[in-house]
Amino acid sequence: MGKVVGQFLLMIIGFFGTWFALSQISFVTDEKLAEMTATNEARLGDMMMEMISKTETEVKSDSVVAIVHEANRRLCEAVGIDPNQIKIHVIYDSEVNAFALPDSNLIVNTGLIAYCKNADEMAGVMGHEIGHIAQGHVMTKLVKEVGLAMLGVLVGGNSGSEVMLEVFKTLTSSSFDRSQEREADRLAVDYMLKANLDPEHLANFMFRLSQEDSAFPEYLEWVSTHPDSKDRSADILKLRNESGKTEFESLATEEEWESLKTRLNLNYL
Amino acid sequence: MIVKPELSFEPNDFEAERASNSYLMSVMALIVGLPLPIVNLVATLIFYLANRKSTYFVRWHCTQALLSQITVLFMNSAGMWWTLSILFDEMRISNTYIAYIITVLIFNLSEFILTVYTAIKVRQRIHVEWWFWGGLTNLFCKA
Repeated sequence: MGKVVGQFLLMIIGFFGTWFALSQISFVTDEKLAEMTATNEARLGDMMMEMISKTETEVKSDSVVAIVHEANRRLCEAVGIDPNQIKIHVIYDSEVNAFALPDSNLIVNTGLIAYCKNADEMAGVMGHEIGHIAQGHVMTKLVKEVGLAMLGVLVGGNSGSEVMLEVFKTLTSSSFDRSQEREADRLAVDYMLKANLDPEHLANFMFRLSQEDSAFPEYLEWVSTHPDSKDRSADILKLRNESGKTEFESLATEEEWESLKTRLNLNYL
Repeated sequence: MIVKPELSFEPNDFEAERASNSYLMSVMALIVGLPLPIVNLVATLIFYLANRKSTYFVRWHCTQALLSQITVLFMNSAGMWWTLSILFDEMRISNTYIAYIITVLIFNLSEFILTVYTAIKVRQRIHVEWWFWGGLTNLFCKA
């Protein structure tokens, strides 16, 4: 019995000793990991934007782009993020959607602008997406769903366009995990409050979207990628009310917003 | 690592085959069951239960195979959960994690080689007692 116990202890020491000895080797440093992720992210971002530029048309109208940039500037500056870090792209697409891509690219569809009742609703959705960017959710999601090895192959330049399309679909048509969505909501509320924008608009947007039926599938894109919109709308309102803030400054008047939509010929919804 | 004590009896061909199969079972299950460590334990446990009333030689080797699988199960399960936490949670790849995975691989590989070697030797009616597991099996398995 004593011999077996002795051998067992030796085996435990052997196991932990091997583990300890091996962990002294620097397989990967935090700097190396961060550098690798940043390089991969920048290349992936470039590749995706190149793909978008081939299939989608970017809105060039100054008045439209200006208000989207203004929303970004107000949200970012309020919380100490460099607004230039977020690369905004407005594209012609009737889907009600906005999404974050690698390398801090934020895509806003014209469908979202058309659906929003005012500029602050759009700012709220942008705040949510900026939250995902600020927390590094985009790459985390990609690594989880596509895999680190596959991403390595992709940025190595040997990828087929179909694989890249899959990665793109992963980012645009599937949700982040529940905790990340809630975190992005919380951040959007925080950004809006600090930027003097009323988070109630984001809550209204989410609630309205959750009430849409499937007769207009283009409405449903942001809903399908953002489940539990109704509950989250209530949570956003709760956070807003808890802040005690009552005075806000809208991004644009309703007239300005409507005239912008008219200029874009977006009143088709 | 291995001792080959003389037995007071000569196992017959049927016993040698059954005893050898207990090791082959865990090897097969290891190949099929990866990356779920529980699969090879379950396979070995089923084989053990089926043979627990068999002759001493067969019982002894089924027990040794089972006990070694239980040990491996603990280290493999920890590795699996650690990997899943990295993939699906917020944990990050670190030197400690990579070192753990390499350590587990070394132990698994050693166990794999030992298992194949023992399966061959036992089939040749040679009794093989592993370091630690042999002694442990002797405590559980009485003639």
